[in-house]
Amino acid sequence: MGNDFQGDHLDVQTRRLSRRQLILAGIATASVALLQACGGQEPIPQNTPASSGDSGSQGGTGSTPASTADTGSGASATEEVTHQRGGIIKVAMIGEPPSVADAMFTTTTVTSDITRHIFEGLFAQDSEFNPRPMLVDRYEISDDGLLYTFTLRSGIKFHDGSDLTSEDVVASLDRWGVMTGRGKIVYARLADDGVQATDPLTVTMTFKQPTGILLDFLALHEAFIMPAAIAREVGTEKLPDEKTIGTGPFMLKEHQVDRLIRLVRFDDYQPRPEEPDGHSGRKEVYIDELHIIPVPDVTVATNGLITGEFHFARDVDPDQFQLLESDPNVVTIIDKPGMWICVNFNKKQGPMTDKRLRQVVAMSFDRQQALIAAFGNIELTRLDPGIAMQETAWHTDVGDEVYRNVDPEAAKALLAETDYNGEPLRWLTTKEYPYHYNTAAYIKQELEKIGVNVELVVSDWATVVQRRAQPDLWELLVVGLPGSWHPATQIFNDKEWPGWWDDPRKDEILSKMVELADPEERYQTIVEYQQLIYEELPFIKIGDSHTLQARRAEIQGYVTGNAWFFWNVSLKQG
Amino acid sequence: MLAYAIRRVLLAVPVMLIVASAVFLLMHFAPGDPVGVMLGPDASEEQRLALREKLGLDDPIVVQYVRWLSHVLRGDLGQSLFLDQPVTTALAERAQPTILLGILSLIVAIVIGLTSGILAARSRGSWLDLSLMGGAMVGITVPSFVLGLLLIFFFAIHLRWLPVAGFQPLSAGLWESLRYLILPAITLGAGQSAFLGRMTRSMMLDVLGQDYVRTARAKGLAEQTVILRHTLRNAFVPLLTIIGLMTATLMSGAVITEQIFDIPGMGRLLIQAVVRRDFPLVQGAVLVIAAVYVLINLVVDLLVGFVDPRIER
Repeated sequence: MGNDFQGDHLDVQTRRLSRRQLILAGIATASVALLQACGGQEPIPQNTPASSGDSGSQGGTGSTPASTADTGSGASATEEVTHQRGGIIKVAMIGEPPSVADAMFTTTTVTSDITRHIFEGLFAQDSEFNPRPMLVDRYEISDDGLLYTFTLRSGIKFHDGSDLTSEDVVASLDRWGVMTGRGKIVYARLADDGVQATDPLTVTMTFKQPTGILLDFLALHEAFIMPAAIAREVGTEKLPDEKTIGTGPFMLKEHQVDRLIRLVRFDDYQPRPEEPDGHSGRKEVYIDELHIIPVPDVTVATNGLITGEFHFARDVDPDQFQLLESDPNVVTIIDKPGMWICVNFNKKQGPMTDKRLRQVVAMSFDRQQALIAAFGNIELTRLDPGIAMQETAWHTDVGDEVYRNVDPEAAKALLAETDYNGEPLRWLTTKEYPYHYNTAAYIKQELEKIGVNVELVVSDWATVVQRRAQPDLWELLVVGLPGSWHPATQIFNDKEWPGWWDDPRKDEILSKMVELADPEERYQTIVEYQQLIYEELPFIKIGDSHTLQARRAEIQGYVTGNAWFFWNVSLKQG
Repeated sequence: MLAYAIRRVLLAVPVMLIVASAVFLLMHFAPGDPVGVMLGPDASEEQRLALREKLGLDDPIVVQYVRWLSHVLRGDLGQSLFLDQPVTTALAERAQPTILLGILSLIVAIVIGLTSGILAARSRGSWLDLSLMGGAMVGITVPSFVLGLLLIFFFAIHLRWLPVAGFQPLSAGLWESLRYLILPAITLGAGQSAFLGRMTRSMMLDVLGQDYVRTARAKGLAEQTVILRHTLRNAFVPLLTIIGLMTATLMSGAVITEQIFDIPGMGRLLIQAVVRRDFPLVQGAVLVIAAVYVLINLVVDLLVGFVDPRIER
């Protein structure tokens, strides 16, 4: 998917050939008709997964109440699952990651998807994206909010057999503080004595000013913990495969570039005692191995899922939704929250610096129609004004009246009041990701109805990324943003990010959002922030988009939401 | 013969350098930033600048070109920006799938193409000729991705005889490797066989009309001898050139077929490298592909000289 949070690398690999898709759809229909004509209505026979029993079953079972929130086949009930050990789960991943698991080096999703299996942080997100202790046993925050004391769990081992100590945490966080945007925010607020290892299992963080958002940041995959020696040796370089050593439930065993990333169960893993909740709580690994296979073509991934060559497809072609829904061996998953898309404006120079012109765009087009144009399948989209999506604790409806105010006549009247004199507005877009181009094409048509000229500047995604950094080259573009990120961490907060939203009121609200420790007070800053967005319209939210994924039915205990993971799941035997 | 071969190899050096230099310039003047692709959009400007500096992408283009060329002349194609491995290693890893696929599809193309062309020429105007050439026309006009998808739907999804996609190296076992390559080889070889079949028929008919063929038949030679010894051998010179070009194309990676069947070969690697703006990898791959073309053309020229000594003279 060509969204910003997933990263450019991923984007450039998901080149879908629309002509091929059309032909594919035709062929699929014709083939199904032909096969049915030849062989009647017989369903495709269940295929034994290639992995079942491939590796020695180590015995042992476990029972986990698993909430299967899959959308396909109508499954939504909570079921009691008896897990058995053994087997290999094969995942079709959209492409080779720029780093296997170094989420500090790159923000691409293909990397963070693997990071969460190998590494852990002090905290992890629960199903509502709240921070919950992971490597931390207990923690205290001083009354003035300036001192955080974390006591680590004892007996935690890294994959190389060494024990987790506070030195590892300090070295890892120091690297995080240098390499990532959120780490830099935290480290800029630290006092001189900053992050300290006060004893082998205790870490303190001392701040100059309250930093209430710290735990939310520490729960992100990028704030992972590695052995101190590796963190110091690697520094800001990309973590090489042989040094990809964490405390997580899986270990990296083998990496064949563009062919296979092989993770195996870490038998010395110490699960937490709490019930599983999102990425937090107890993690039990029942499968022997997790094979992540780069499959750049979503059609190949879908076909492999149908035949049982893959057990899980990270990205599925929405055009094949119905095909998968009709297969009893496959369960479709609408992965929420996914992302939200918006029309971003160049606020540094040119006509879109005029707020009235941004309001004209906002009133000119129907959000629902734009989402249909973008994603085709309405089941994968949602109308919602929130900059944090409904699944998170940070969601708010503030600004809904602006979001839903579509009034082309009023837009036309307002346009007449502006200095706009018919010059074409340049819209950077790409056909590599159909939603970029399709959204632009639909809104262009609506804008032209009210007298705004739009010129679509179409290029490949890498070129869009380069050009959007140059304010003299564009006025509008579509952006995909993560729905699961805390509003304080969104990339458009950075006034240097393309779009250049520079507003002291925003900075003031964000400062409070980072500072306040009380969750209620902090939530109010999010409300204020969203209000400001709908007042200023630095961008126009179009709507939410969910990711279509699919898995084989023999995977037991799979839980949807907040990205995929394969602990607490097993393969149905036999 | 040896002097001829050496002269051809020496002539190939400037050709390869011109091709590689043109690709270097085109890649560097094209918009797009590999650092943005590697770090993701959330990276700070500071991080981007640091990585650009580390990779030498902030140097003037002339400096980058001279540096790249000097490394190439020493046999070092550089380091892939994205894959974080030497370009030679990346190419070597992708060579096996591409070469295996190329060989298998070439076998498909030659066996089907030559056989159908000879049979059609022998039975000119018959139903067999019409059927074979009609089939060849279909083979030429049906795009490989359509044929590939049809084969997948029938043999992999419906019958489940063969895997949908993927690749297994020879080290996994001959059959294990072959079963992944059967459908892609048919997909890739079918179009080539159709083209080769039509060319073979045409060349054979041309030769069958020659006086010496009539003489051979008048001497009472068996039809099989006339076809194989007198006709095919003379028709083979232009066919050899076609097969040579076909081989070069197949050995340089079949982008669409590799994409449809998820084969990690040279074609897919090159496309991904272009999209990711992985400059060293694109340059290295193009250089290797140019070398493959030059080498195969040389071999074909030598073979043609061997088959028809008049050409060598």
